[in-house]
Order: sequence, then structure tokens, then C-alpha cells
Amino acid sequence: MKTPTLLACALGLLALLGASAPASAEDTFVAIKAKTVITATGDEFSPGVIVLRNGKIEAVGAKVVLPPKAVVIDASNEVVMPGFVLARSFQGRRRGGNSGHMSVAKELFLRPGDLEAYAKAGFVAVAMLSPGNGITGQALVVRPIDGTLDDLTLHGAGYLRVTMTSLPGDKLNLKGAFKEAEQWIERIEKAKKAFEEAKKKAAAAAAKKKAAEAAKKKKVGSGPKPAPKPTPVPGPRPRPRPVPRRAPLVGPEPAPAVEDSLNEYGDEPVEDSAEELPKQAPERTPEQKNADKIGHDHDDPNAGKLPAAVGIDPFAPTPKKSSKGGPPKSFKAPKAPERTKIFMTFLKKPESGLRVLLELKKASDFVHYEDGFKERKLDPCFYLDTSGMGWRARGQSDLFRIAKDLGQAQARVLLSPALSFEPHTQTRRNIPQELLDAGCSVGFVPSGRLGSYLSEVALLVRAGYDRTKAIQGMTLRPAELLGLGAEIGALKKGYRGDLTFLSGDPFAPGTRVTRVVLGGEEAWSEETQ
Amino acid sequence: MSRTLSSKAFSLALLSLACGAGLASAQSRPTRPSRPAPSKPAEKKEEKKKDKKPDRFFAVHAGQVYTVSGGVLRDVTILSKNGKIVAIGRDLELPKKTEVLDAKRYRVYPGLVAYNSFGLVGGNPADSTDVYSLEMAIGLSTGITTVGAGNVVAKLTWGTLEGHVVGPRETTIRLTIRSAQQRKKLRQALDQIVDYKRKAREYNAARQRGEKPTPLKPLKGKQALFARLLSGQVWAYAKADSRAELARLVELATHYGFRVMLEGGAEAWTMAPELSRAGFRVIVVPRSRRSENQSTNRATGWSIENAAILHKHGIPVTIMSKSAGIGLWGLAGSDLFTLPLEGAFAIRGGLPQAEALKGLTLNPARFMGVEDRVGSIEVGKDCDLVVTRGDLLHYETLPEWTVVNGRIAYDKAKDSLLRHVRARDIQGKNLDVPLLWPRTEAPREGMKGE
Repeated sequence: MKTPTLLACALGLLALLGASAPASAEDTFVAIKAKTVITATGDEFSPGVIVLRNGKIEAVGAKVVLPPKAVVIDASNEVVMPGFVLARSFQGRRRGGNSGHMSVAKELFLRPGDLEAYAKAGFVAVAMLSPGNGITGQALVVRPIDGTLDDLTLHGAGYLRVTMTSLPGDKLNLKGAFKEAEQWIERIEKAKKAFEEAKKKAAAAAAKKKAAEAAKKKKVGSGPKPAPKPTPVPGPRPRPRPVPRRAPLVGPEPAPAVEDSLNEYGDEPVEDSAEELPKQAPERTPEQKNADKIGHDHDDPNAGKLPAAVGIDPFAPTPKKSSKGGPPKSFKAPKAPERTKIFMTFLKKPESGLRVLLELKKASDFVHYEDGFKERKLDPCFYLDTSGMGWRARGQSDLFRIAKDLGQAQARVLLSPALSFEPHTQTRRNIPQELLDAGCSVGFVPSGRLGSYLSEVALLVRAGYDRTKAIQGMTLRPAELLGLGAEIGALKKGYRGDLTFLSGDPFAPGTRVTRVVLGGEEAWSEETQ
Repeated sequence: MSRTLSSKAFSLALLSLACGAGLASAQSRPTRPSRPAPSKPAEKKEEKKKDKKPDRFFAVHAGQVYTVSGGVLRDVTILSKNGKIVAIGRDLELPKKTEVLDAKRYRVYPGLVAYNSFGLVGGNPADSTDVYSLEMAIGLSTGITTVGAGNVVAKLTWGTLEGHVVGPRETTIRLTIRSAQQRKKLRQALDQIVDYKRKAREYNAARQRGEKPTPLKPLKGKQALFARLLSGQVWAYAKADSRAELARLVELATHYGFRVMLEGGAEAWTMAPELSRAGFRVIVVPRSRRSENQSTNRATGWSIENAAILHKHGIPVTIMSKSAGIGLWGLAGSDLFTLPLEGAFAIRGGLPQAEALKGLTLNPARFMGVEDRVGSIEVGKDCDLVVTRGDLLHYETLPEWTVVNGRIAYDKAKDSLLRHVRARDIQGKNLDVPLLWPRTEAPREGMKGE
């Protein structure tokens, strides 16, 4: 009953789309004819066709009119679904960072074939992270192909990883970071206030001097003309650079003209547009994306620069340098350390959109997070480590205790698709299900080997987990977490043609990944191995 | 001139302090500028805060209430607001949205207080306690609501950090007098303080005579703490079991005039009069054993009557278990889980029932300096309760509910720990919980298809 209506809808939609966007001669089309197409939005077409236009999805449906020059990929024995997204991975040769401003991009050294294992397991996007405890840095989202970092990078800063798993250290660490940021904000405010006062005083003194000179002129005007004063030499006027804790300049110096577009936290005046921060998961233009990518060239002075950190950093100086010497016409704020700026952003501009992945191991970790940082507007996504609570309780997790709280907050959670035990009992707990029922948006990460990911989710589905939600948990939910929810993770028009081909139904026993297609091009295939 | 004036003023102040509030009349005191009345904005702020968080009411309809400080009350209701008891009485009008625990067929006791603990709360409780730990669950299941942990007193607040830390524990100075060398050092240190105090008295006397003596250097660090000990502001804390050690402690305490909180005291019953005269407080472990010393003709070794004899001599007794932790390697039988049984054992030795209860609640609270918050069921104190079917100190009794800060922190019927042991009868229905291992339970909503 349902299929014909869906078909009709799909066909109608396709007709509309075809009419709205006429194909140009340069466009390249790829058509995939599959046994089954799973869209991850709730629809499944058997058989199904996916049409890609320039690497992006143009149409999905049961019966789609193929463009005349389309390259046809025959997958009549395969199930095609959006590529899996891995939102948390530590693989690779990297050192752990210990500051929020650090990105994995700075420490990622990949050899050819390093990322092949991801493609083999059906992943099309992988968030690389720095291991360790505390605030370990920002994730780098890559595609599982060989190439330069430019080719690989999907997103420069997926999210900031913060752990709350080792108490009290982690809690005190985060508290300290916020405290430091607060202190810096206060310091900058103070310096600014002092600067304003100095400016006012200087202006008053100048006015007084002017008045006195005018009065003198009036007096002298009646008598003989005095010898002309030597004209002041125009040039740099020495003035000490305002540094932290130094008294502001107070004196008869003329009032400096203050530009309107002052950046109160930066060293240099910053244009207003720089302070306009992107909202969460913004639609990015190709230019922006290029800017997001990280320079791999070591000669490039911008190599290793954090794109997202720059994007959300309201304190970043513009490349324009003020002329040397002369009175500083604008307020120069004390320079806060990079790691502190991240947290100053959280405090001053919570809407800036830097995502946070908060890792929890025990239910109590969440209580401590709520206790210390509920008002900080971090709005994190939670990674719940349900693998066990230490040597005494392997395979046991008490994280079901916070399902209600997380559900009320409609939190985004990331966890292994695995059943666990209630601590110190033989009572089984389906924590992903409990979180879903409570109202959370649940994404998955494989708990063990990448190759057994499908069977792990299959077990969960067999235990009653909703099939569509399970597919979304492998694709769309982790993509959303990485800020790529409008690019990958579903088969919708305009999404990237990043697809995973399976030998059968995703949750049937023995199903394996046969092919991975990235942007219409085959990135990995079982046959070529 | 000004110096003498100020010294006079100082001595006056001292005098008034010494006289105390009762003697010094209000008129003789120098008039102080009255405190500014709380400004209206502050009140508004408070109101705003209240607006943010609605008051939390909790009430228990209790069959019998063992208040510890005021006898036993029958068929009363205890009402708490935001974790503090605001009313105890019959036919109380309960505010709307009051969470009510119907315990008309049950007894209600104040939550037990463990003087020492480890593992129940974190080393730095506010930042590291696992509020869902097995240790905490076991502690609550035996009726413990407050524990001393290091320098702080904390509560077993299940699932929340609200009201977790009660406050700092009353400062004590730990004295170790096991070896002759240690005793010698202690004596030297205390003698220095005695000497300093004598010099201070001479200095004050000289100042009063109008002379200008050279001022003394103020005491710092450990010396300052010892000075507080000798002036009775701080308690000494010592561990001693044998009669010989106790005798030495008594000698030191009476010679220097300080007060001792004694932990252990297995042979304290042999020296009860001396300990009483020296103003000791004792933390006893009723079930701890100590064999007799055959080389002396005096009474030695442990006694079941230890706590009872100490109590008879007017010594405040706190009851503790041998281990201050929770034994998870098996039922050790001497950890905090058996704390009520320690009380029961003291009763077996002759300690009155009410005193045993006091030794598990109010006395440890006093010893830790938090008796204004916990230890008994009184209006103004925290709503920490243990609800049981029978006598709390009976070997058969397991707490049915434990309430901490006006919240049900433990419910025996819901916690998988002990719900199968004499399962509670709810509205005539027996909980059909199998006694076999592994313990199973009815499928949850989240376990479809299992």
C-alpha cells in the first residue's frame, strides 16, 4: 500500500526537479541502479535508482528517468545507503593535545593506505581526535582516501573534545579553563575602561590647552607679532604600548581618534563582519570550504591554521598592520593565550557555534557536569562510554540513570550500539533504546573493530531498536554532530554522493561492505582488493 | 599615650569577653553602629532566586518517630522544605505538590552518621564523588546518610550533588604517643606552649601595670594549633587500645589540660573513671576483639560491656565499625554495612537502646561538629531519615527507605541490592522476586524482543 504512494511522490518530485534545474553540457551524471536503496530518511526503494549530478545527489527513487549521458553503475545485487559516518576515532599517529585551540590537523601524519580500513568498513567521513583526558583539542573530519590533507579534509574543526571521565581532575581542569577566561575578560574590560578614561582626560586637557592658547592669541594679537614657532616635525611620536597591569596614559597628549570598528578583545581593530560569527552548521559556500581546508604545504605561513577556530574567533587580528610609531589610535587589548580565547568565546558569544563533545563514563560524571557547567551554555553532544566502569564492572554501565535527564534536554548522544548490564547485576540494559525513548538524538560509534560495526547495530535492531533510527544513527546523526548534517548522512537532493554499497540488507547476518563511492567516484571496492 | 589608651580598650574588650553575654549588660557595652538593614534590591534578588527554583516539600507519615533528642513520637507527620525539617506533628496541613511517603506502619529514625569512611564519597567530595556508586548504595541500604571523609563531612546524596557537602569536620589534632620518642617530642612541644602562655600572661600583666614589655612573637603553624589545643578550642584525636597507652594519654591530658577524642579504646572499660574525669570522648568498635594481657594482674582485653561501662561513667560514646569502608570483596562482616549491628552488639553488652542509637547518630554528629544539621529529628535540622519495619538495631531489620535532604535516596523495593530479602509487601501484593542467582527482573520498556 505504502510503496505506490511513495513511488508516485518520488516521481513527481523528480519531474519537478528536472524542470527546475536543466542539465548543462558540462554536467556529469552518474546513475546507480541498486537492488535496494535506503535513504536514511525513512524511505526504501527496491529496486531503486540514485542519480548523481556533479557528485551530488540529484534524484532518488524507484523509477527515475536517467539523463542521456549518465554513467551507469550496476548494483543490482547490492543495497545502497548513505555512507557511514564515524564521529570519534583515535586511529593514526598523533600526539594528544591538551588545549582547546589545538587541532588534530597539526599532528596528523598519514601514510598511504592508513585510512583504507575506514573505507573498507563503509565509512565516508571520519572525525580524527586527540586521545587523552581533559580538553584535548578539536577534531578533524576527513574522507577515507589517499591524498593531501586538502583532499582529505571535509571539515577543519568538527568539535572540541572535552572529557569528564576522570574526576576530580577533568572537572577542575574545565573549571580552571573557564575561570582563566573570566579573568582575561575582566582584565580586558579593565584595560578598556582605563583607556577610555585616559582618552577623556586627554581630551579635556587638550581642550583646556586650546582655550588657553586662544586666550593668549587674543592678548598677543594687539601687540607686535611674535617670531613664528618652529613647525613640529611630523613623524612617530613615542608612546609606550599599553601592556597588562600598566597604568594607562594620562597626560596632556591630544585625544586619539578612536575608530568605531574597534575590536575590544583583539589587538587590532577588526571589521564588523569578522565579529559576525557563523551560526551552528551554517550552509558554507565553496570558497568558505576551501578556506576551511588546512594548508598542507609547510612553506605556507597559514599551514596548520585552525579554520574553525579562526572562523569563530572574535579576537583574531586582521592581517592589516597599523603604521609603525605614532600614537595608538585605537585600544589595544592585552593578548590572551590561544587556549583561553576558546573559552572566552564560550562566555562572550555562546552562539558562536563551536560544538563540544563531552565524554562521560559514569552517570555521576553527568551530575558533576550539571553541577559545574550547566549555566555555561556549552550545549554539548554527549559521548557515553558504555563499555564498562573499570576493572570491577566490565561491560556494566550505569548511564541509563541519566537517560531521562538527557531526554528532557533533547540531547545529542553518541555511543556504542551495544547492550550492557546494570552495574553489579546480571540485568541487561539497552541504553541506546532507553535514550531514544527518552527523547535523545542517538548516534553510533563502533565499540570495537570497525568490521563488526554492522553486526553490532544488527544485534541492537534485533533487540527491538527501530530500524530507521538505527540507520540514521550510523549516518545522519553523527554527520549532524560534526556539523555536516546538510551535506552527508542521507540520500536527499543536494547531499554529497557519498554512498556505501552492501552485499545485502544492512542488518542481515553476513552482510559486508562491497563498495564505497565518494562524490560519484568509486573510492574503494571489494573487487579491486 | 595613644598606646596606653588602646591597651585599656583592649583589656576592657577582654573583660567583656570573659564576663560573657550574661554578665555584661547591654548598656555597659560600647555602642556599635547598627547594621544596615538589608536593602530592598537584595530582597528582590532573593525573590527572583526563589522564582527560579520552586520549594521542594517532602513529608513522611510515620508510625513511630525515634527523634533521639526528644523521645519517641507516635503517628506524626514530618514535613520538610528544601531538605530541612519545618514541622513535626499530627494533622499537619501539607502544601500542594508535597511528595508524601506513607510510613504509618513503619518506624522512622534519623539517618545514621559514620564518624569515618572511605570509598563512600570522593577524596574531594564536591568534585569527585560518584553519586551512583555501589558503596553509596550499600551505605544507604544500611541507613547511613552522613559520613566523615577526611576533613569534610558529606552526605550520601544519591544521584545529586545538591547538599552533598555538609561542611568541614571539626578540627582535631592527631596525637601519636606509641613510642617513647614520640611522647618525648610531644611533651617538649606542649611544654613550649605552656611556657609561651606563661610569658603571655606576664606580658599582659606588665601591660596592665603600664609598663612597655617587649611583645611576643605570635605563634604559627603547628604551635598555634597546639596553643588552641591547650586552651580547649580544639580536640586531640588519638588511637589507643591498650590500658598502658590509655594511661599515658590520660596522664598527658590531665597534665596539660586538653580534651581527647579517643578512637578504639578496646580496654577503655578498665579505665572508665579516669577517662571520664579527663573528659574523654570515645569512638568504640563494640565487636573488635583484643586478647588479655597475661603479664599483668589488672583487667585487660576486650569486653562486650565496653560501651555500656563507658556510658555509665558519663563518657559520650560513638559507635563505629571496624572498617570504615564498604567491603566489596565479599561480606567482610565488619565494614560500614554492619554499622547497626555494632550498635546491637553494644546493646547486648548492656548499653541502653536509646544510647546505642545516639551513639550512631547524634554523638558522631557532635564529634564532627555538625550536630546543628544532622543526628536527630528536630525542626530546623536536615531531613535525613531511615524508615524501617522493625527496630533499626535488630539483626533482621533492613531499612525500607533512606531519605537524604528530603529526597528518597534509597528504596529497598526498587534497588536491586536487597529487594529480594524479606520483600516489602505493597498494598497486599508480595513482590515476586526470585531468590536465585542471577537475579532477574520483569522486562523493561527498553528491552523489546529480548
